[in-house]
Amino acid sequence: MFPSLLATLPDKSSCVAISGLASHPFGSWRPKDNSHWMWLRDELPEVFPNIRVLLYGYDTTLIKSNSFQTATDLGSSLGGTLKASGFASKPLLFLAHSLGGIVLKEALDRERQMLQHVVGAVLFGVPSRGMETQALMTIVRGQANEAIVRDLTIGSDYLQSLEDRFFDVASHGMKLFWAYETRTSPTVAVSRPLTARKSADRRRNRRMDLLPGRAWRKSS
Amino acid sequence: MEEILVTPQSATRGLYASGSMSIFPINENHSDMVKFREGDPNCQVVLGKLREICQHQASDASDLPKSREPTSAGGPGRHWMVPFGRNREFVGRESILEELLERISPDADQDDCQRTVVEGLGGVGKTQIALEVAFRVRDNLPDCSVFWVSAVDAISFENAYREIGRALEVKGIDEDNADVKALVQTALGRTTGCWLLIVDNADNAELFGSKQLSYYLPFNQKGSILLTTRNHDITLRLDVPKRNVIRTAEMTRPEGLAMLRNSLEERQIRDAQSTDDLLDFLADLPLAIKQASAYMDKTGTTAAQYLAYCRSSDKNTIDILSTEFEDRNRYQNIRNPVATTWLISFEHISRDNPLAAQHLRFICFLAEKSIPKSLLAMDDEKATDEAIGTLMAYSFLNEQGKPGLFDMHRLVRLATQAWIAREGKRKECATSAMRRLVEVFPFPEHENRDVWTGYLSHVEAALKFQADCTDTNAQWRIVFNVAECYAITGNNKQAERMYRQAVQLSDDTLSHQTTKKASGNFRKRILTGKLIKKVLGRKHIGETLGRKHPNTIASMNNLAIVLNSQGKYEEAEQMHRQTLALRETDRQTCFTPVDSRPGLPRGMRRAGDYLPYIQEEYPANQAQWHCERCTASVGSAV
Repeated sequence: MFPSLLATLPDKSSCVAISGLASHPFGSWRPKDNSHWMWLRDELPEVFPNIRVLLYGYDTTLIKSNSFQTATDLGSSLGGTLKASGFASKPLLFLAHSLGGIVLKEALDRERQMLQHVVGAVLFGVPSRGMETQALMTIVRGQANEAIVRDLTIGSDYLQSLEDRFFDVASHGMKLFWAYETRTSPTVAVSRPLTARKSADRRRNRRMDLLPGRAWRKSS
Repeated sequence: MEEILVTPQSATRGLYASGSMSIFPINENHSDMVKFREGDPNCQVVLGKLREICQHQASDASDLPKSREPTSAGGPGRHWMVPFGRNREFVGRESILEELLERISPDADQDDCQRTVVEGLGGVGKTQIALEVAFRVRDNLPDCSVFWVSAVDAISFENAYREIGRALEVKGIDEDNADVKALVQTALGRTTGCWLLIVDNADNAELFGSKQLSYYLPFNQKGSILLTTRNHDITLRLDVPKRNVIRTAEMTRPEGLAMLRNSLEERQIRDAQSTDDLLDFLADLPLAIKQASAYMDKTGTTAAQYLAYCRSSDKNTIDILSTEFEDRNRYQNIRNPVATTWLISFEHISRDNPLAAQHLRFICFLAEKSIPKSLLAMDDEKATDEAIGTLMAYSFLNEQGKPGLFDMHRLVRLATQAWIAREGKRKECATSAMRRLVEVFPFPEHENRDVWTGYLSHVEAALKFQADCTDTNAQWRIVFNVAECYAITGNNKQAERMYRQAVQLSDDTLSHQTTKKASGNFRKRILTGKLIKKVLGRKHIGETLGRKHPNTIASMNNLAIVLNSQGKYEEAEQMHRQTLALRETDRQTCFTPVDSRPGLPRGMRRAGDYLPYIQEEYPANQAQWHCERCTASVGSAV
């Protein structure tokens, strides 16, 4: 479906939405009130008819995960996918939430030739200098994905090195906005809000373009 | 339990509470901050940000600015363009710094664009003081932009101005014939935000004469200019009021000690008497202290041992090494401390790391600032990195803020040059330097502009030694390419000077009658030179070889390219047509397609007209290559 879709679309900007840790590519942007409204699909294209929104999906389930992927791996998959799919040679915008922002920073650093097309990004609650991971650690301890959570811990070497590399990336003339949260989140009862929701919105006929990472394609 | 999962500081990369316009809060928790409900005001805020991003893109339609740092802390639109990191080992100088900060703050004189000068001898630490001041301004005045311009030579000055122009998104700054200096001068004069412009190494009286570079210093009541110079004449010429001239002298003894202490272990300077004597010997000159402590740090030498080396160093050599230092008189009574510390380190390096010494012998022919690593011969990259590491460890090279760019202190450069002369290797080294430059310096085109603009100041510096170069071929190539660079940048006088020189050089080579191939190559080149001379000085085309000679045709083609790069499209097109017509009549002597390749498509108004010729002329794959380019340029012309 994708190659043919790409071939028919004219030159227009793409906005790639990258969701966070243990999230659903669609569900994580959808309000919890079970309405069928989703701003990336129903609002953004109305305001910006020239921008096509793409959801990027990747596997970061927390519970019983056997994924060894680190943020670096996830970033290079994103970079590779963008390049291979041809989006990296047209104007690009990004929306990234939480870990998604780390993955994005990594991807931009890896695919430097893409930078000239990157117009800007809005980053929501991206833990550039780490986040509170204690509660998460109790879930992933001993699992293959322990490393990725550890990388996100405050003061980790990985984040420092990423930040150093990103400084250079950010100087390529892109416009960046950083949104921060001002309400607390439950950290003990993590299992419910932070695990993947499988209920993609299938009831609506309007379809969104998907930019699949490997793992997510099957499950949708 | 509830908490903020990602703190505002983490989410904004430290910009939180900085007043930055590029951050905003969303009053939700971590997971809900992207789950906007229908009609959610937060959603409108985010869409507003996206709109800003899109407008930002529209404002710099073609070339995205490369060196802006939109994320650096501070107010909106603030620029920070200082190519160095902070010198963590900076010590003392507090009174000078305070005085400077007071004078240079753009608000210090609201009705003027004040100029301040830091004056002092070479090696006394002017640049380091200016650098520290830049960082303090950044910390204290969050809305003040800071720009750094190196005025070592005209090219560095222009390159720095171009970077500023790109950051300010000045229209047309990247066009081939842009008057970069004037554009940026105007832009800084009009900008509404306040700025500090630091002009480092404004030493050259020729460059800062009445109508030279100083003419391009901007004026804005919200601006302030800080210059560093070792030349008092410059201060006079720039009309700087006396109270804004700050003289730097050598360090005080406690400052000197602090500097030593910074990089050495207590063990090495425990002997107070020797340490004191050493600082006496080094005349408390920061550059000398820096080099001495770098050596001591690397080798574990104590102050007493180092002092002994200094005293036993060959007096004559030191004298020779410091002949070129024009502030030498200052140290008449003592051996020049910089030359002495240089000699001690250099002897050590040539024994332990000959490759590093070899690189130093090359680097000293280049310009002092912004030396790209890519200019160095790298047979073995790891070994080269090691050698660079050694040179940095001995404080002969400093890395700039961007990795892969190095600076060398003027006195270190002069000492190295003097050493090479003393070794009797001046010719050998100058020649191999020139050959290396031939390898890396590309034929300039718009597409590789960033490469050659970065190299140009170094090649110019090396050309000052061309009298020592024994390889005329290499010399000629460099001169010719430099001439092309000047032609592209619209620097016609310089271009003509270089073209003339190229003609001169190739005549000499020809008279030596090298191989047939080389001579063919050279004749073509001579003609190019002569033809261009014709453009600039009106001389007849093809007079030596006859019109149908392939070299004449090639030269006409080259001339067309030059015309093209000067924006004289119609003449260029005519010339191209003539070339093609000549080739039509005499295919036997047709030269390779390469010669016409760069000239044909670029800028041609009716490039499509050539397609039939080209398709007929060249085999399929080349024709395709051409057609693609031609088609593209036809497209853009229409």
